[in-house]
Amino acid sequence: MDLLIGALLGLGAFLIGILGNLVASEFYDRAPTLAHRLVELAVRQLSEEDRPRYREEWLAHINECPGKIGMLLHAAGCVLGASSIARQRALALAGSQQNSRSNHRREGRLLNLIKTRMFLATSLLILLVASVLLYAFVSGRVYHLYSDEALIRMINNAAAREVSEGRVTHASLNSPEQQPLPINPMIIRISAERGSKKTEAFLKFLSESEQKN
Amino acid sequence: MSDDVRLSQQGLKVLRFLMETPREGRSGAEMSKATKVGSGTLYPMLARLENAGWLTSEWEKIDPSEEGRPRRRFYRLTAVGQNSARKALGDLQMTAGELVWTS
Repeated sequence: MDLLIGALLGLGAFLIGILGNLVASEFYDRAPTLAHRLVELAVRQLSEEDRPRYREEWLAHINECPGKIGMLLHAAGCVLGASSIARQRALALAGSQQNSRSNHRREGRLLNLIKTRMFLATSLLILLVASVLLYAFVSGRVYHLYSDEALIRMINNAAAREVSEGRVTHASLNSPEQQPLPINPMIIRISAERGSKKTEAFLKFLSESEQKN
Repeated sequence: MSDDVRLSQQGLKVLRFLMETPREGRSGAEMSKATKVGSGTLYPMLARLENAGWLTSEWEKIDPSEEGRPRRRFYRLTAVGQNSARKALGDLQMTAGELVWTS
């Protein structure tokens, strides 16, 4: 009985050995095909645009692998590495899209800045031209009204120069101790001809202020 | 493109290999064979370095149908890559096939 069991075990081992050898041999023969299939599996993990490149590159690599096991190892590596490459590409794409969006925002801000600057430059040019025209065509004295802060500064610091250059009628307010005139701060600068209602009102206002002080 | 590339020991091996012939393109198979870095690590690394502008790659100039095999892709260090690789390898010395920090 023991002999029979031993013989059966021996036969089984023999058969398993042969079968294993056959499987290994078959596997070894099919290794290149299997490697190609693994590469194809790896390539499928990549984006459409990356597939042709890596398919050709990895198949070329297979041809240079030493031995069939080497081919399989390379192909298995490709399967493992493909997801990493796909992830990198996706991140790079997301990054470039984000950059593109931020570039658009930056361009928008730049455009707004340019528009603002152009608006300011145009406004200043118009004001300059208007001032020149005013000085050229208005006869008589020109009265300048400043905001409270500007008036105080003018009185305290540079009264003589500004008065002489600007022909400012309220030069009479030349004492640094003068209280600020209650001039509407919104009125930065107006000009008027002598004899006009505005000028008369202003002169009246100035004399009243002087009398009060 | 970014200079912010983290390099592993295997990455440094690959860079060192490419630095040996900076003007010559090397295929992935050559690099893998010389540095013993497997494909699963090598190709993602090459893609990362290429994205970062350290490497440039081009196809082998052959006609695959004539040669009866697919074209290889050759990788080469860019000027930025050479400078960065030199810097990265600056503190290292190669001894008996292993990388050792000098400081």
